[in-house]
Amino acid sequence: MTLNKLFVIILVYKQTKMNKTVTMQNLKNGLIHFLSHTIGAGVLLWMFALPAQAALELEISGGSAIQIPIAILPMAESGSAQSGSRLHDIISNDLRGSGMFRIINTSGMPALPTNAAQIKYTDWTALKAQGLSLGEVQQAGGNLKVSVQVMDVLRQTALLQLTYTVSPSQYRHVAHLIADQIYEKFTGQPGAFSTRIAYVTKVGKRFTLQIADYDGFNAQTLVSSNEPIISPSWSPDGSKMAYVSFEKKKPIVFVQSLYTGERKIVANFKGNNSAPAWSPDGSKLAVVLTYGANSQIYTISADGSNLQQVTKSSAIDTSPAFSPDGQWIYFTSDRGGRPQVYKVSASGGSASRVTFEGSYNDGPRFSPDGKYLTYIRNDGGAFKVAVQDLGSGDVKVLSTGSQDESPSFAPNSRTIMYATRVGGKGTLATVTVDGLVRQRLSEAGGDIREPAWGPAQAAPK
Amino acid sequence: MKIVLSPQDQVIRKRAAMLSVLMHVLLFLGMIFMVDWKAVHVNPSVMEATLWDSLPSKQPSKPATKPVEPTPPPPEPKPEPKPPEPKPPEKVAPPEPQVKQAEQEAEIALKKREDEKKRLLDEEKKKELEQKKQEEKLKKIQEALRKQEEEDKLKKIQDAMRQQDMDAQQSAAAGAVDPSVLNYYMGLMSRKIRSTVNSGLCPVTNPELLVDIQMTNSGDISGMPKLVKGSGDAVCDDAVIRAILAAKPFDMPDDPAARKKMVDQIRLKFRPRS
Repeated sequence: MTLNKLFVIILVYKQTKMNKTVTMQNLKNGLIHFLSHTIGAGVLLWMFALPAQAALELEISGGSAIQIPIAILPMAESGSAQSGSRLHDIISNDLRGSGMFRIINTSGMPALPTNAAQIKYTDWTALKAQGLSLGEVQQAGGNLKVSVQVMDVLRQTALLQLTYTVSPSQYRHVAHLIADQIYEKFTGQPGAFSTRIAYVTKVGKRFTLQIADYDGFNAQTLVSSNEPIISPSWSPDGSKMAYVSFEKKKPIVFVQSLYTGERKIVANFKGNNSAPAWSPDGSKLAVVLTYGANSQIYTISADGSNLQQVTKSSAIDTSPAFSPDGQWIYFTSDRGGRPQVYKVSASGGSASRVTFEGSYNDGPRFSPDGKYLTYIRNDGGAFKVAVQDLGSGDVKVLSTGSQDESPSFAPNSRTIMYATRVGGKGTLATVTVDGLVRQRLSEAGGDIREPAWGPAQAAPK
Repeated sequence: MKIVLSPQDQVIRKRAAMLSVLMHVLLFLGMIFMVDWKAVHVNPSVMEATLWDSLPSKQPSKPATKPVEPTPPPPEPKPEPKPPEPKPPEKVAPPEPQVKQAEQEAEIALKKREDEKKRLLDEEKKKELEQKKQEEKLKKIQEALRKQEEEDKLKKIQDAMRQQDMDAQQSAAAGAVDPSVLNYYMGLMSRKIRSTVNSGLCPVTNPELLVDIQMTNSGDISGMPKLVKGSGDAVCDDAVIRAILAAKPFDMPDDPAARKKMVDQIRLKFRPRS
């Protein structure tokens, strides 16, 4: 009030000084002007004062959780022909093996919900579950209708609502598809559970190149021979397989269609033809030939034309792999005395060394995202899977076997598949790129070797 | 053979002699000022060595220089002469009275003195009585005063206690909080949330996220955490929100002021990849 009075006095003084008549209108206008400024200043002050009044601030640096706790509940299955192989077990195995999820044990729970309305969220928050999957499988004609709901336990909302109608033969496949969806919902990365792998089995004296689900189920034979078959390599679109067969008493590179089974010889030059690796665009392959004298890296078009020599050394250069951008070919060479990984421009030129740790590093394979390189390292006499972070150069030995071989990345770059030996027989194993979760895929029987993980868009079954 | 010089030649000879003297003087000056006569060590890195017939004894050698004699202590200051003590005043002897007159006067004086004594005794008795009365009165007053003082003290203590209670209530209302209590419980909250953050789901660029939560009195979160600043990655944002929800409920302080402060809005600042 005193301020206002003071203002009126100043205003009156100013007006008289300017020889203007002091009218009520002038005073009123001035007062409004003054008040608007006062309010404006007040608002400004309040705005500046706000942070001081604002609440407590708490800094949280880092995080120590590495897995997402999730409950995968058994589904209500009516008249399932697949007794003993239940969807929730397949989904659980997929998610557990990825290393990204911790599957909450629900075996002790009395009454498990089969639909969202039955969920008592306090039960699940008490078990620290963040996600909850439930649903049902119904017979629909000759098909199976699978309905799944994935709930956010913490927010008590639905995250996913999935429905598939599939033939009974796709029972496992639909479980992998559901696992892929859950994986992507929580991690933002696509899952790799519905992808496929290729590997060679040796039963008796017979070698068979097989294609199976990523977990070794549903194996199908692509080609079989009494002579060794080695080095299967998926074309980037997943429609063709390149491999080396000794069926003609010497190693020859074949390419075979997964749709038609049709195959053709790509490299059958004088000497050995081996280690095919596709370029990222699928137009050509890197191969190893002893065409001259010693093993050297060449590139050749997928139809077998346009052979070009890439490395020109007096050493043994082998096991080529294209970088995901197609610019480089990484390979193993003993030009330094011991086998180490080198890289050379895909069009040829001088090579530079990539691996420096350890006395033996062989068989480089890229992660599809181009961030990692995996290879076999001789670690104190044992051959183990190593992964090298191409950004930092850090190398980590991931596997624990003594004769591990043929590592290759999953299409989502999160997991590596390799062959290991158990009881004198080869078997498949996976390890997450951080080394936290290792799994052995015991389902695929026989003596298994030379696995190769297929691309995301692998051929349909 | 004598050479006869012409006057012109003589002039030339004189000039030549002068020039010669001048040049010598200049040369001499030049030698003095340009040339350093002092001997210079051309190679300072050369070590000088002294050859000894036998090693010197390990006993510390006596110092070559005479030890500095200790300076004599400064002379003690002489005590100043004491001022003469003042003499006591001399006693003056009373004059002796004459004997006869003195006896009579003495009797009268005796009687008077006895009377006086009696009177004085009576007066003293009266005075004592009065004094006793007064002392009793004083005692009563003092007791009353003491009682009053004690009551006052008690009242003061009670007032102080009451004031303390009121202060505590006022401070609780005003939000004055013991920072150590608050820090402790905020630290618990930070650790609990950190344990549920899945940093692997966040970009390696380590973006900052800001999330506001509204705490309840029981340590729960009221409503949903509010993302104020996201990481630019929906999966990371979601992972952080889930981590907050998975971490609740949080321990709350018993201290009402600290609890009240925590029940306020809290802004959580995340750096998941740190």
